[in-house]
Amino acid sequence: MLRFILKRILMLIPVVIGVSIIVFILMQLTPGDPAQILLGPQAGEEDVQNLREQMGLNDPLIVQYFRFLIGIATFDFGTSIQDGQPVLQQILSHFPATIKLTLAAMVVALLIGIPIGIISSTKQYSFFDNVSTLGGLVGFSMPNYWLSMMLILLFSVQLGWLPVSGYGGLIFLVLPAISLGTQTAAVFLRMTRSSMLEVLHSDYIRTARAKGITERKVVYAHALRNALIPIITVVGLQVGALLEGAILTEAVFAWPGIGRFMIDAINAKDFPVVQGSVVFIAFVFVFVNLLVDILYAYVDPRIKAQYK
Amino acid sequence: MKRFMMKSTFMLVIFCLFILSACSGASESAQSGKSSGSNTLTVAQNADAITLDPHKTNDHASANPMQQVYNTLVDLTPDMEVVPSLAESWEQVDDLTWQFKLRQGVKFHNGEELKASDVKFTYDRLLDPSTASPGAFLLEQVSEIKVVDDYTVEIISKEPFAPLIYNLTHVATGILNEKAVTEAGAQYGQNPVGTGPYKFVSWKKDSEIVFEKYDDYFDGAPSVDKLVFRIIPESSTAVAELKTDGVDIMIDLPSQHISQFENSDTVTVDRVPSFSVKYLSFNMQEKPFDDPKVRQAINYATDKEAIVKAAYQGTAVPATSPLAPGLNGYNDSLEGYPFDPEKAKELLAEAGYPDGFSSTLYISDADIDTKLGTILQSQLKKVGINLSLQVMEWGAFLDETAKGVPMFVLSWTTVTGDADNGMYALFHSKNAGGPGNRSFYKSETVDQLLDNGRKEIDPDKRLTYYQQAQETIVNDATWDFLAVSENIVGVNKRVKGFENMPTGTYKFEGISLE
Repeated sequence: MLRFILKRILMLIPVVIGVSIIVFILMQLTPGDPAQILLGPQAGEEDVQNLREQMGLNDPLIVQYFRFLIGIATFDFGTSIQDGQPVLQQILSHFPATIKLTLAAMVVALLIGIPIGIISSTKQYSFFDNVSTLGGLVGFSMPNYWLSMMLILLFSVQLGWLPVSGYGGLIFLVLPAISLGTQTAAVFLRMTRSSMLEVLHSDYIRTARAKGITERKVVYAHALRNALIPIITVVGLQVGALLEGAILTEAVFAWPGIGRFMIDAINAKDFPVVQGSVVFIAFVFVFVNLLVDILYAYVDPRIKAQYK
Repeated sequence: MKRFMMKSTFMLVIFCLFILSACSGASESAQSGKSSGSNTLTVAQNADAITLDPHKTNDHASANPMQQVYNTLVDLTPDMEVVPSLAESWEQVDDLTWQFKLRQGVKFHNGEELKASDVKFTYDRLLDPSTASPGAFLLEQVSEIKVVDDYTVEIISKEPFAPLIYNLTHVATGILNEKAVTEAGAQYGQNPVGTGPYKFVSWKKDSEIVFEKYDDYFDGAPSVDKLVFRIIPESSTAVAELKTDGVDIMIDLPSQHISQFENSDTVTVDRVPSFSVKYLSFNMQEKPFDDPKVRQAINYATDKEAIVKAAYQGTAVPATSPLAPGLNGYNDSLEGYPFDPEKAKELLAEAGYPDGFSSTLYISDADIDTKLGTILQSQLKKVGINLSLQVMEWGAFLDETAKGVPMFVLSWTTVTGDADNGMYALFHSKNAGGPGNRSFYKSETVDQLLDNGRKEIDPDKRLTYYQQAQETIVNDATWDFLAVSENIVGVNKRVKGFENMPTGTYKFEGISLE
């Protein structure tokens, strides 16, 4: 098991290098000169050139890339073009907000999606199943932005129960988490329902029932555990979707996470910030998927056996 | 199985605890949510400051927080009158030398007293090429800053530089304390020290900037105890905050939201005409835009009243000159180009384009610009000019227009209130391309007039130069002069003493809360 984890951690290196190459090339391909943007439309050509030189933007691309790569290897993500602050420090100051939002949305999604999915699968084609399937479809199709605005209008403007936006205690987290978690909840609901249905129709479940085990135990002990593998896979992948969705949610709820930080950086062509943040997020995403793989082993002894 | 269930439950509990602990960690910076009742003024703006070092940026979002921390030597009233601030008096000693007498006993937020050496330090730093300041253009003609005594400073320019006094009202020339800047080093932009009415407390990036009143402020401490800038990028969210008393002031309220506050008991919408002119321009070096008739035709073909109604919901007026009304130097005798599509067709025919032509209109992805792009496309089509739209993100747009594009939509805000700032960069041939003259306009008459305006000491003579320059520019149809927009600010009724500014940057020292 330890060897497996170590191997997976080593595999992070090519992933990070791959991501760094892609993001570096993309940033070079997008038009716009960071020096010109920083100095504004009134700056003279000479000043822009001076600043480019200062920023190292006149060096050959390959030099710039290796400077960036060596920086990552030594945990030096460089400094922001805009405000001269160390990029890693800024990422670390924005990332906790995104983590909080993503985790809270994940909790919302798990608490809504999985129980409803389980109940739906045990009562296939019942009224509850039809309603929850429809709910899942609506939840999945609803644009995040629209849902956010509706939540604000209802709970903040009309009822006055929750703050409109901002960053602070738990109360500020409620609306963004629901807004961000809804789509993922729908994914979990559909995944759980179909995965459970497949298992519930398998032979060993019929055997278990024939042995006279209570339905409750059949569903929760025998079926759920076997249905969990695909669900856990989706949970891991949804972390990526949530991080992506957080960008919009953060903007709507004025949540100071890494998504907004990155959008500002992209608009200002702040290369070090964009590159550093993307690599950082890639790192986190790969790490979460590693956790998911480890979790498989705990859920399914057959997978654990393979590691040995 | 039991073990598995126990493990799962255990993991879920750990997970929830983790979230709870993560959330509680932030409560120290928790915002009040409701601002009414407290003596805290909460202001919403849609972007965060880049830095609070006035020499390191020239953006709108940084200017507003900086206006509260710093003072300039002289100040601008809403009526564009230059009044004393840190300088209690000034005089022009000769053509090249301005002498400023500083107020005595002014203290910086770190306790240091304001001295002439601070002024010298500030301007030297602003002009130092290694600072790479976007605001350096404000003092570009200055050759030397001379400390005469502790409270007297002289600014000497290479050649007569009449706009100087207006340029010194710009927050980029706010006076810094040498000791504070040196001590903070690269961190100065995050730890600003000025002489202003509010002193800096904290800054949570992309969330809020907090200030508290400065008790030793030379003009008397403000009545508000705490000032918070909240960064709310989404205008609908900021509007909801304004409705629920979450914020007291919302800067740049989009015009489509105004109607929501028409009968509001708690919020007033404060509107003033801005110093911002929106224009369509051309690459005048290229065909067909090198022909003034074509440019005039486009002016006649544009229905500016319709633009004001459709794109601005009535919160603008048609532009008649490259300057906005109210600016020092504005020529109010110009009437602009009326909407006359027939005349436009005639002019196009005279220019050799009886069937019109096709071109590309470059616009930024800002909401207002995409609206204008579509409207202009349909209006110009009626006289045979077929436009394809090229929408670009801001950085790319600046880049492309600096190199020269056939047609583009842009705006200019004259932040100093003076014609020089509103015309020199945009129309002088030496500024062609990136520095501002993206139309590549070349007129010896206008160059001469703008140079004269810079050098002329007599204010009345100076104004005539700018008025003549505007006339030539309008006759040349250098731009299609579209609209002068309004600065729209949503203000909670408990806020007293808010002063809306045509420049779009605000000072909150005179505000009190009920």
